[in-house]
This record gives sequence, structure tokens and C-alpha cells, in this order.
Amino acid sequence: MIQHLVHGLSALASPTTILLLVVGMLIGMLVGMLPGLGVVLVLSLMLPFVRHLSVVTAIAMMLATQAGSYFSASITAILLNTPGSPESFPTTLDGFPMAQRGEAGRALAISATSTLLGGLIACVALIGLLQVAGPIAALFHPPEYVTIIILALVLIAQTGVIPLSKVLLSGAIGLMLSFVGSDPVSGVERFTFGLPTLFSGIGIVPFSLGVFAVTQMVSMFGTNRAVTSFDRGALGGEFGGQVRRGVSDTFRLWYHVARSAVLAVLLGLVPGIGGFTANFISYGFGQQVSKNRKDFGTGVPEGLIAAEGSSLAKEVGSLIPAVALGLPSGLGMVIFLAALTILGLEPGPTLLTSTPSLPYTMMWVMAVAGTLSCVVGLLLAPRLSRITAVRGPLMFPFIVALAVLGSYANAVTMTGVVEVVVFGVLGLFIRKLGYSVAAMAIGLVLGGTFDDNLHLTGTIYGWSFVTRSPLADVFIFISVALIVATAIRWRRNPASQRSGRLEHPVLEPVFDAALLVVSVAYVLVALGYPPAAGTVPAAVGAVAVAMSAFRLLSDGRTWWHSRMPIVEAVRSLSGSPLPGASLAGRTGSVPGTEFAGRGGAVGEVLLAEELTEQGTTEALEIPEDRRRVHLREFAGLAWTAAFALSAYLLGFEVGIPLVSAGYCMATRTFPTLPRRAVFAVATALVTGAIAVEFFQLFHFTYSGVL
Amino acid sequence: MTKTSQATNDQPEGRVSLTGRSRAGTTRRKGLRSRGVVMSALTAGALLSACGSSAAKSSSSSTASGSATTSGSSSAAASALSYFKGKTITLIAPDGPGGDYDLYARILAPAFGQYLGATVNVENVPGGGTVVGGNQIASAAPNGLTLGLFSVGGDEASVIENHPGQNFTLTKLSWIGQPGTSPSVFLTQPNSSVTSFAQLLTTKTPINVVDIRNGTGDMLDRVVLGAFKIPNKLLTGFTSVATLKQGFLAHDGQFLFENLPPFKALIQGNQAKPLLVTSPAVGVLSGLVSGVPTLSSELSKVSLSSAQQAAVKEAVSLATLAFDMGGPPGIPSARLTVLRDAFNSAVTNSATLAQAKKESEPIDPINGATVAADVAAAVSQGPSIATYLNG
Repeated sequence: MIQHLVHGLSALASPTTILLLVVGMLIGMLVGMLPGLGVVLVLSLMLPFVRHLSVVTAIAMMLATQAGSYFSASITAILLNTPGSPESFPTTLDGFPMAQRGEAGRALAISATSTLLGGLIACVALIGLLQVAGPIAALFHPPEYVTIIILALVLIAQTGVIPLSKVLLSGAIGLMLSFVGSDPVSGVERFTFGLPTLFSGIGIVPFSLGVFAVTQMVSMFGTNRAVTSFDRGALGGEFGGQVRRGVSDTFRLWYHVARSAVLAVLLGLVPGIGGFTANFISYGFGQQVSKNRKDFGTGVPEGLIAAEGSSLAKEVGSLIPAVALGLPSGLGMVIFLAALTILGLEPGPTLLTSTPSLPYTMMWVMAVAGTLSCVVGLLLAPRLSRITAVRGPLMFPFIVALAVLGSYANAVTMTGVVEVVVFGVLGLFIRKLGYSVAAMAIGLVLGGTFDDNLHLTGTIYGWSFVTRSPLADVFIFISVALIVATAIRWRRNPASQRSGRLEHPVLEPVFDAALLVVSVAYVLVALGYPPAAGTVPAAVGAVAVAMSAFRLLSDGRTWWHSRMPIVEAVRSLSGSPLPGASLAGRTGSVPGTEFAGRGGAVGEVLLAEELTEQGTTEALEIPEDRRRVHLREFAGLAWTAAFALSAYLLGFEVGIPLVSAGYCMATRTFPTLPRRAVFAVATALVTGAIAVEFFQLFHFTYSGVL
Repeated sequence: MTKTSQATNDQPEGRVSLTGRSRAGTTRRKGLRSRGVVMSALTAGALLSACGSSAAKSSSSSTASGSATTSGSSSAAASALSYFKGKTITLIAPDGPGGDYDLYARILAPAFGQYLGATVNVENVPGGGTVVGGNQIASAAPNGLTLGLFSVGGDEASVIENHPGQNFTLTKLSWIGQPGTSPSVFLTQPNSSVTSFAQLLTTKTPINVVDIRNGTGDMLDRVVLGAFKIPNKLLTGFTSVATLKQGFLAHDGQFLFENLPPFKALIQGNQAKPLLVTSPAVGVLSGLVSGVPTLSSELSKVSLSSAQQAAVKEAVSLATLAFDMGGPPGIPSARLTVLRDAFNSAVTNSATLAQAKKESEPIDPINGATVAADVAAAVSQGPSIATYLNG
């Protein structure tokens, strides 16, 4: 083994290999930072070149690209509440609140260091696990897949103060969205209403871009503020010191990194889903065993480490089923396997016997590229952190332009662009109303796997899985135990739940009712499909019906009980002057931020709640302020739609710079006209250049219907 | 179509199609796929009745293709060729990465794009056997920019079975060509007490067979095991070769019937034991299944009714109608001609052949006109497999 370990490292000692490793790592870091572009797209672009490279060089380039992307995907998650990839969502939960507190440098340093340390721990674990790869992967049968997805959802329900019913409803919505498109087993089209654009289903990329990037930008446009309200000049000087502090935090909390890394390696072994669920489960598990569990989600280093310690580690773990069995754990590994095949290698047990040092070469690539990306990340962190002091309206055109371009690049259809706008609107609602974006994302991404494996469980095992799948029983036991424990905890401490007041007294019951109607319609449509294609969607839809009905009753009752005191308060205060307290500068402190990653919106909502608790007089002014914010948010959504529409009509290369310039002039990004004009020209040039480069790089040809 | 000796290096012996598929410069082949009396009559009749003179056309396909290439200088062809320059073509592989469809698509894409001056992006659209990808190809705009590979045999079996989900008519699609095909293999677990296919003929206990729903594997499972009266419990629902492999390795089932190349590593790594192949493997694949009986040899050992034999042979013939490259109905004929020329160029390209050899995928091309004729013949013949598919 030592011999293979040494040989695996020495195989990298070629100038070309080292050069492409570094280039791959830098490309990975760049694309990881850009929401929507994604490492999978870039790996796909590399495939044609792979055949011209040697095996080791090609592996170095592709794996370094992946390794470089893991830390950088957390950069936008921390700075802008917009994960570079869906897997990085848990990073937003503590990373973004830290950035809001003005600790972006510290958060980035924690992320970079824990990603690297976790990856290195995983590399050590990999050496041992390579010997037992086959038996471990064989432990996972369809019932295990189904129950581990349920466990992931339950763990999410544990990690915040969102009511269980909302988490379940969010997860069910995600699953329901995932069933749109062709049934993977029978091929029957479901919920497409004959629209060919929906045959391939709803993509996770437009969903992520809409729910995260667009919603965050719209939210910041609404408040007209930066991520952090702390002084820009002072923060710039502090970021260097914060980076040192962040590195120190990670080493001080090394055991959190180790726990996440080990868990992630084990989850990475699960073919098909391990790669995606690892960060979620690591975060959830980290919270369960932490002494500071109540502070998770408010910007604590432990939370960030729990999420990021697994980031690279899960990919190292997923090398085992990919290489030893030819079974990928995530999309990146799928492309990597395709590359191996192009190179004439057959992923599987023979690869381990015919080229025993190759897996160790892969491990070294992960370790070296992970280290390099960590160093680059730490060097860049102080500069990157400054973005948190930039006002939302100034960032808006760039991020929205990237979101629109990324959604098009994902499937090279305008459908993705439409979806990103739709999910931007939906995202704003679900964040404001406190639904779990995490549960929804998991449902959407893993819905297909859930459906397939539930079907297979029924076909192969039936109810006998209870006696035939002990590992599934363990997952079920843990899930049930966690639900019971939560119920007991909530019963003992009702204060841990949300208050009995509705943040949006009218909107919440209306939204519940809308979900109920949609869910009932969904079930009815699902029942019209052949049983093999319709049973699982109907069952999930039934859960959504039950949960939305429960929410409607609960919120309706709360609204009814709280209605009278408010009316009386309004009456008693009528005619009184309203003092002009400001919300500005209060979002830096976000105690009790919910797991749902409500970001900028939650700052406003929680602040409103805090103010409400201070007295009725101030509470009365909040609707005024909210109304103004809401109007601006609607305007932000309208601008997003304008970006999409102009791209559709005029093509991306013309439409996007045109709307960018129009946005800058119309939205008073700067107080004086000359400065606004200069900003408009600069923005148009930059967004136009991005669009042109995008189209040239990917050979897109869309030029608009006009 | 121009065929070179390189292109036929890996041609399996006995590759004869339903239509007596003519290969450029080659003759009909013998062996399992040279049909029995019943099938030959069916085939010839079907071809003549359904396709009119298509057989004659296909037999001279080489000439036709050659002339197509020559006519590339004509203005229509030049215009059609220039249409593709600088464009992006999406080539849909109706399977996940690592499956045969994915491998063939990626092998063909570079040279195919090179001929057209276009960028060819391979997109994996797995599910429903190959139906989901097929639906997506068939519903695309008929501009030649969305193409893909079809499992004609699997799709036709799905039609015979009246299985819902398939939204296209095979005969209406625009056919471009078939790069080649490989035999299917019936595998069992390495530690299984079953050591031969013949042993299964006497078994009384149902065997657990796993497979992807729809597709050629599913069809072969139903027809072959049904005709040989092997009691079985067919556990379908896997959605791609990767998930099927995982299920097999996790012992969710004891047997499976699938195309050979994706399972090469499992056989080499002693994680799967081959019991039967549908036809002799050639090239690098032959060593994998040396000594493994073919379906025709097993057919000769047992006494099956003529209907049972016909069903087995029809299933095997349909299984060879795989990896056919096509596009949505209605691609303008000039563009279709250019696409067929690009295909012909790709399958004779030396880099393509080298890559195919590296990935153990046989290149044994059939031109688009012949594929179209084969499809028409397959659709119009009597479905002797219906008994087993619907039973």
C-alpha cells in the first residue's frame, strides 16, 4: 500500500500535469463562485479535450477542477446568501449571518480551512476504506436510499425553529416539483400538461438561481442595503485580522471538522445520493451533538465548520464507489467517470487491480488541489469580503444577469430563464413566510431517487424490508427518535417555537390555502396516471394536502385570535403621531435566524418581531416600512423579469446590457445623473462582455425572437 | 455510404438484420441473426410490403451514400452543410453516463461535429428504458440541431406491450444511421449455485431477475425466460445502467439480461458470471464470454414450439436494433442527407475507431436509409413476442 501511495504521488511529478492541476483548480474556483455556472458544466466542456491527455494529467485536471470548486462554492453562500452549488446551502445558514455581522473574512477563512482539513482527514480515511469498498456499497439497497432521504429531511427539521409541519410541507413541495417531467421508470409524462419544455423536468440550477440568487438580490434591492451595515472602511481594515481568527477558530474546533469529515466520507460511499446529502446531514448531525445547538443558524463557527468540514471530504469518499464500482455519487463524479471511460479505463474492480496506484493518485490530486485552493482562498478572502459592504442595488444587475445566463446555459433553453423568474417569485414568498428552502431543495434534488427507490422497495421487498434491511431500520429508528425528541422538547419549551403571532397575518393563511388547492389538484392529476407512475406523486401530494390543511387551520386560528387586539390597538392609537424609527442598521444582529436561510428577508422579519415586542406604537409603523420594502421588492422582481424578457426578445448579448443600463438609470443607484450615467455605461459594458463571453465559450447561438 | 475495412474491424459474425441489412461492400451474414424460415419470410414480406423498394435502396446504400457525398457539392447540400457551421447540436444519449448509449454518443460526437463544423454536446437523458430520451428527441424542433440515439427494439417492444409513455412513432423519425451494436448477456452472481443456462431449464423455484423497465434487456428477460419456461420474478424499475449495476452488486436480484460492454468490468472483476449471450462477441469482448453458450446453441438443445422459437428469434433481432441515431420527424431532406454524410464520416474516422476500440464498443455501421427500412420492417412484422410481453 505504501508503495502505491508513493507511486500515486510521483505520477503527478510532470510539468504538464502540475500545470493542468493548477489551471483546473483555478477554473474550479472561478466557476464555483459564479452562481449557475457550476462545475458540472465546466467538466462537461473539458470532456472533449480529455482524450488528448495522458490518464494522470486528465485526472489531475478534472479532479482539481472539482476540488477547487468546493471551497469557492461557499464564497457566494457566505457573502451573498447564494450558494455556488445546491450542496453548499448549509453554508449559508451560519456563514451569511456572520457576514451580516461584518465577519465575512472570518467566515471565509473558516470555510477554506475546514474544507481543506476535512478533505485531508478524508484522504487518510480513504486509504483504509479502499480495501473494503465493495462490501460497504453493497449495504445500500432501495430501502436504505428511501430512509436516508427521510432522515436527511428529519435532520433539517431538527435544526431550526421552523415548525415540523412547514418543513414537511417544504420537503413535499420539493418532491412534487421533482416529479414534473417524465417518470424515470415508465417514461410516462407527469404534470407536463403537454408542454415539451417540461418533459425534462424542473432543473435544480434554475431553482437554486431563483430561490437563492434572485431572491437575495430582490431582498437587498428592497431594503436598499448591503449585506452588512457595518462601516465599510473599518471593515476593510479588519478583514485581514479576521482571516487569521478564522483559521485559528478552525484549528481550535478541530474535532468538529473531524466529525463532519468522517461522516461525509461514509455518506460519500453511498452511490447516487451521498454527495448531495452529506453537507446537510453533517450540519444537522453537528447541531444535534453540539453544546451550542441553539445558536446554530445565528452565525456560529461550529455551524459553518459542520457544513464545510464535509465539503471536500464527501467527494473524497465518493471516489470509492465511483472508481471501485463505477457508481457515481454526484453529478461531478458522473462526468469524471465518463472521462475515465474516454481514457479507456473501466471504472470497477478491475481498475483497482490493473492500476492499483491510480486511486491514490486521485487522492493526492484532491489533497494538493484542496490545499492550493485553501491558500488562494485565504489570500483572496480579505478582498472578497469587501463585497458585503456593497449596496444591493449596485450588485443587482450583475448577479441577476449571471442568474439569467446561468439558467440558460444549464439546458440551453429559454425554459430555464422562465423558471429562474418563477422561482425568484416563489423564493421570495417561501423565505418571507418561513418555509424551509433546504427541505425544498433536498426534495427537488433527491425526488427522482426517492421515487425510483420507493418503487423498487415496493417491487423487490414490499413490507418485508422491515426485516430484511437492518440499516434502513436504523435510519427509521433515528428519524422517529429525533421527531419524538423534538416534540418533547417543544412541548417542554413552547418558547422555542415561533410566537403565536403571524408575521404576515393575511398572506400566510392565503398562501396556505393556495398550497392546499394546488396540492389537491396535484393529487387528482396524479391519480389519473398509471399506478406505476402516479402512486408516489399522489402519496406525496396527500402529505402536502394534510400539511397545508393543518397550516391553514393553525394560521387561520392564530390570525383569528390575534385579530381583535390589533384592531383595538389601532383604534386606541388613531390620531397619534407616528414616530419615525428606522429599521436601518439593525440587520447585523439576527438572533434566532431560522434554518430556512431566510437571509436578508429574515433580518427584516425578525426585526419587525423585535420591534413589535417593544410596544404597539412602534409596531404600527412597521407596516409602513414593510410596505415600502415590499414595493421595492416587487420592483426588483419586475426588473428580473425585464432581464429575462429582454434576453428572450433581443438575445442575451444585446438584451442584458440594454436592461442593465436602463436599470442603472431608472433605479437611482446613484444620486447624481452623471454618476448614474457612468455606472450605467460601465454596467452595460461588463454585463455585455459577460454575455458575449458566455455565448462564445459555450457556442450558444440564441439571438432573440426579434 | 463509404465503408472502410477499419469500420468493419469489429463486425460480429452473423450480423443480419430484419431486412437483410446490407452493409457497404459486405454481404448478408450468417449465424444467429440470419433468420429462420419463419422470420425470413416475415421479414422479406414485411420489407417488400411496407417499404416498397426500400430493400432495393438499402442494398445499394453504399452507392446511394456515395452519391449523397458527391451531391454535397450541389447547392442544396452546400446550403444544408453551411447551416450547421458554428451551430451547437445536442446529441441525446437516452441513458446515464457509462451506459452503451452514452459511450456511443461520446465516441461519435467529435468527428460528427467536425464534419459539420458544429459543436456537438452529448446530453444524458435516462429513464423509462430509453423512452424519456426518445420522447425528448422526437419532440424537438425538426431543424437537425437536436438528435439522439434510439433503442428501436426496446421502443417497438414497448409499443407491442401497449406500455404508456412513448410519444413517438418510430417510422416517422428521421434516421441517420447505426454505429454498431453488441450482444446482450445473461448474468448471474459470481457465487450463484447456477453455473449454466441449461441448469435453469430444470429449476422449479422462480429466479429473481433485475432490470431496467422497458428497453431491450427487459424484452429479452420476458421473451427468453418466458419461451424457455424458466420460472422467474422480474424486478424492473431500475432507471439506468448505473443503478442497475448497483442493485445487482447489492444482490437485489440474482440475474440480469443487458448489453455486454457496460458489464465488462464486473465480469473481469469476477463480480458477475455470464451464462448466455445472444450472439457471439467479437474483438475485445470475445475474451469476456469465451465458452459461454449463445442463444442459438441453447435453442438447438431444447424442444421449443415454432411459436416459441420465433418469439426468441424476433426478440434477438429486435435487440440488434439499438443505438440507432435519429432525429425528430420532418428534418428537411437536404439537412438529413448532410447529417447522414456526417455520420458516415464519423464512423469511418480513424480517431472514432480508435476510441471505440478503447471503449470496447463495436463499430459496425449501417447507413440511415437502411436503418429507416429496418425500422419500417420491424414495426410491420407479426409480433410473436407479444404473448410474452403482455403475459
